[in-house]
Amino acid sequence: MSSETAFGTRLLAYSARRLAQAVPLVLVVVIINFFLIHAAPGDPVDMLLGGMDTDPEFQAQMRRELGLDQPLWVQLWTYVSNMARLDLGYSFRFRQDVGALIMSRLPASLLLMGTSFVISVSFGILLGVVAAYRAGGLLERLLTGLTLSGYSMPVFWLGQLMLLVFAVGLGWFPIQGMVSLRTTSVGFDRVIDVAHHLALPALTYSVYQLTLIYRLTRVKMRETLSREFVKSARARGLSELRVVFRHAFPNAMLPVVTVMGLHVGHMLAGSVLTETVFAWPGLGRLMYEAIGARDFPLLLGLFTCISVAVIVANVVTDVIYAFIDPRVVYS
Amino acid sequence: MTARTATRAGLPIYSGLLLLGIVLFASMGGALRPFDAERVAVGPALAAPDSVHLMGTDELGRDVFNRVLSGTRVSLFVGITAALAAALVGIAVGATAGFLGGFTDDVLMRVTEVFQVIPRFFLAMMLVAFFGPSLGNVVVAIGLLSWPQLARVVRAEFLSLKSRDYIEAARAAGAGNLNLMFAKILPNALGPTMASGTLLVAQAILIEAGLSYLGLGDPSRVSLGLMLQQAQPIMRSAWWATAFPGLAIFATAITINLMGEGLTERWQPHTR
Repeated sequence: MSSETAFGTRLLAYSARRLAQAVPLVLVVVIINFFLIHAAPGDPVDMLLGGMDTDPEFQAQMRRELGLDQPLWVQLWTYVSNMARLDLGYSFRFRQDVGALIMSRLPASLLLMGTSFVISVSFGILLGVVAAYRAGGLLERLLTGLTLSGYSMPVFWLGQLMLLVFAVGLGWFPIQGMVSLRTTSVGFDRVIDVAHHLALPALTYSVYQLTLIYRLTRVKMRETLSREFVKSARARGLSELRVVFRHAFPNAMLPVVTVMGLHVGHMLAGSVLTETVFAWPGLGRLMYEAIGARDFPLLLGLFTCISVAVIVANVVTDVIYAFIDPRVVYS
Repeated sequence: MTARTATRAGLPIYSGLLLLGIVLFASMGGALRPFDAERVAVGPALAAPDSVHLMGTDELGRDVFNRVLSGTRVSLFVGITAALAAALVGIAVGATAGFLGGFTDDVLMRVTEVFQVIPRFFLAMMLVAFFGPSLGNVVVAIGLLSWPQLARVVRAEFLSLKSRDYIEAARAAGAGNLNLMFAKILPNALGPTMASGTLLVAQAILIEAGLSYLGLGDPSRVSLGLMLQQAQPIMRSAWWATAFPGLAIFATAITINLMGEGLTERWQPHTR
């Protein structure tokens, strides 16, 4: 067996171990849901029905299904096993399964987050490296000041300012939504239409994420550039480009990957607020609608999905880290 | 010391003074705020900023300037109390874990990790949605979810301080664990704790703004987030209703962040 396949096997085993460690976390999330339903003031059935007027027969049936006449631990067991079957419940407001509702809104969110992720990662890292290399320079000071501002600014207000300037003021972009309602375009025209609507929300959300990535990259890159091995690479007469990108950059990126993984929850929060401002029809907007209607089953479903996504993202980050830095796998 | 490092060293002081200014400004009454923040029709609806209504009025004829002042006060209150609550839990957990070490440390750090992974903005949303959007619930939700960062900082400080000679000396002189933890070690760990606690205040203010923008703020108080939500439909006719409340959040948060950065730099110079 070559050493590469050996590493592959070990990486796979490591990934499986990390995934297994994530299972209790998912269980914690499900238990939090259960706690929310039962500890919050008010009757669980009323809450899940969202104050809808249903006949007593149906309510009694629901009570039986939830096992509300059973001891609490039996109820918990019922709840956990429902979740294990991926049954997220039913939204009485939307008259639809929570799971189906979430799936129908997922593509829009992925489009917005994916676009912003590509923009913010590429520019954030590039600017961070340049700023670290020219530490103390005008560009670094300007960018660091700007990103501190970005860090202290509510992302939804940033979105509103974008709307004020580029949509209301200059009229360059549409105000809300994902497609024009007046015209129904198809094919290439539709792609252009969606891109036109996507521009402002994607820009807003990118600025928000870029701030974080820039700050991290700059600090880590600065640390790495002052390390001995970089100095020795320079002393060996390697070109500056090679020193920065082949020697310093990979080492600086390790902690950046880890910390970015820890911020996935933070980034998702940003996307909910961004979608709300621009009425972007994704999961964030759905969450806003669920809050407005006090649609508790939908809220619980969204919370579960988002938490599981964050937990999985953490596992993925660790695996990526192990892939870049094989020492993790062998220790 | 160059001019630039001198400015940097003064950062916590300057930003602290600025913050004090914001606090005083937000809590001032009398001549500064002739209008009731909650009253409708204190002026014409959607009036542009002028000498009477410094930041204009909204669609119900409420005075934006007065509402911004009241909202800032609520933001500061939520930010500071939530950070204090987080600090209390964070110090208790971090100090115990760092001081006792071993099994206790393992267990406490596992719990901390769980709280770090679960997305706190969303959990805060859930808590407030289920238990009701009172100011107290908002503070508790934000506070109880923000402690892990602080617990880690405190733990690291305790780990490095507990084996110092002066602690050994105090122990030999018969000092108990609680005495050692809170009278001997904690005062020496206060710098980094304060630095990271300050950053928590700004985070809490931004979380509160986000929650109330989504409609999860206390409806009985003026809140900057809710003002921004209500300003959106009238954006075309009244830019001031969007511009000023956001500016207030931004100015408060950036001042606190600058102070926190200054303090962090002072206590952890190696992170720069």
